[in-house]
Amino acid sequence: MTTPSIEAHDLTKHFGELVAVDHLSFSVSPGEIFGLLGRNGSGKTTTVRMLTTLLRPTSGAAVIAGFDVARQPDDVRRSSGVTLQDAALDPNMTGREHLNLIGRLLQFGKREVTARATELLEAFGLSAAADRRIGTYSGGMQRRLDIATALFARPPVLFLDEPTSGLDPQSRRALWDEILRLRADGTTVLLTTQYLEEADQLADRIGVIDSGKLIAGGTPRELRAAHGLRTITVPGEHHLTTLVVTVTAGTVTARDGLTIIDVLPDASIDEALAQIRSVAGTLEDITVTKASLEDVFVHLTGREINTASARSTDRAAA
Amino acid sequence: MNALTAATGPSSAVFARSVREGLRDPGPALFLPALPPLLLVIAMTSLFGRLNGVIAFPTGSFKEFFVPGAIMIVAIAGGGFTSAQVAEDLRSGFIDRLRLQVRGPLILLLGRFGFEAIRIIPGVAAVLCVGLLFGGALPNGLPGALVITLLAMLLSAAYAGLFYIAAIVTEDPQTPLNLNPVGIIVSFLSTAFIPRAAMPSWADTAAGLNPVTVIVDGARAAMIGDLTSATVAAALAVATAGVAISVVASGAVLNRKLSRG
Ligand SMILES: Nc1ncnc2c1ncn2[C@@H]1O[C@H](COP(=O)(O)OP(=O)(O)O)[C@@H](O)[C@H]1O
Ligand SMILES: [Mg+2]
Repeated sequence: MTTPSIEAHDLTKHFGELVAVDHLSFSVSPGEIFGLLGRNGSGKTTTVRMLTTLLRPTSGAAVIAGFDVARQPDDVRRSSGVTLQDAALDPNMTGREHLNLIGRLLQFGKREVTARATELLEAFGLSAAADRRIGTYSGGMQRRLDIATALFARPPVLFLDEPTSGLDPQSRRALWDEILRLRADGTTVLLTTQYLEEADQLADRIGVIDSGKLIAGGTPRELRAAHGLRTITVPGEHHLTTLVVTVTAGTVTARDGLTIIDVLPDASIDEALAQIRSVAGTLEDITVTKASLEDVFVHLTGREINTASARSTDRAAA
Repeated sequence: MNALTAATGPSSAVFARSVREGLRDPGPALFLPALPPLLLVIAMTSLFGRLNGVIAFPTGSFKEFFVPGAIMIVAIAGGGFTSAQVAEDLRSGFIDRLRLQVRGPLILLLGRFGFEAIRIIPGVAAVLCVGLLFGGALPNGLPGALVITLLAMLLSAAYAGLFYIAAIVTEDPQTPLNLNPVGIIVSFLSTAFIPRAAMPSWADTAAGLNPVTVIVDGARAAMIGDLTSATVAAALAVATAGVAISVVASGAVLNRKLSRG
């Protein structure tokens, strides 16, 4: 068994009354891309800041490349690269000056800094803009420079907090390619995103975070299988009560001339179709759809929202 | 020792960044500090030359007395130039990018203190030359000029600490402007302009408590008095202690700010 590159144990952060991150536990193996997927305000940035020593956890622990975040922060910093959500750069510096500053802060020798800066500018397509003020760069260029910065010391672990937010589709795809190339080089990547498509495309494994809690995890395929409600749509409004009990997840909706049946994850579609036919007769135009990751997400977080409102109703009634 | 060598690379990089900021904005960084003292030297020596008979100056004539005081004002006028960028780094979040690369955030300030010390050298030279033209004296020659420059450099760095602390707490890039009045107070309530004997008693008390007084007295002794006197030694000691206190205090404030996240 290999030691994980990133391990979080019950990681928790309180901001006063607010629990921004709530007993988060997960681990990421070397060379894996882990996607932390969640909406705005779900606790992604807070998690990244704790994993990168920028923020002290209220409780819980994290180990990065074998180093404890609380007790060995310098080692953690040396083994990881970070891009923060708001790519904060000094607009008055040039790209080259910026990388030189970073390299010198990391205590690399002058000659090494110059060589590495040139190499990174080249690798991220910034050579032509290297001696221009960063303030004149496009959003995509700034993001690439930020990632180049994170990679200066060739860290084995990389944290990318919403690396593609605010980018146009073309820059986003280009960045995806960069991230996949990093994994090919053996870098472990934790990225956060609000975009399902992005998590689906890039991540080997996904953790879904909502209100600071990890509410689901697994490979994109596993998530679809575990939470993906396959649905069978039948024309006509049928009353399929017996079916509900035997094969479906309990929701049959008959509305607008259609009957929609959610099939339980471990139920067989063939069996379900056979039973539907036995009850409703031979039917044409039956469609079977597999849920997208999007549906999984809505299903998961939607349920979260429902229980939250149910709870507040309880409190109001009590 | 190890920590010291480890800090030189990063500090020289931060210093270089401050130099670029200064060259990009040479007005406030390099020229502004010299402007008020130059005007003061010209105005005061032209207008108040006859104060000699009215006030007893401990060393030299009024003109000779005033020039070293004006040179020390270079270190105070336009003080804390680089604190604007400290506030800007905090406000934008660039500080997070920087502190991820270093062991302690203090390293991000050391190079700036260094630049605060050297950026006033042109101003000191200008005020010294104009002061000599307008009736100042420099019997101690080059050694005297070097000591007075060193004192001004230390004062500038020590004074910058106040600006860093304010910039870290407020994250306001206008900090150098906001704290400008402090400079007027600490220079007037020191011996930069007139001797303590000529002050009302409340001002005399304030000047006695003001560390700038010790530094100005030392600067004056270095220029027109006894270069090897205890007064000069005391000024060097107070200025050095001021720098040390500023470095430690601003580092601690930055550390606290950042660890609260
Ligand atoms: N420094 C802070 N002080 C108080 N609340 C904060 C702070 N940082 C984040 N929060 C709150 O914590 C929650 C999680 O925020 P964040 O981690 O930024 O979420 P995300 O990155 O997923 O959008 C939000 O409700 C946010 O308002
Ligand atoms: Mg965020």
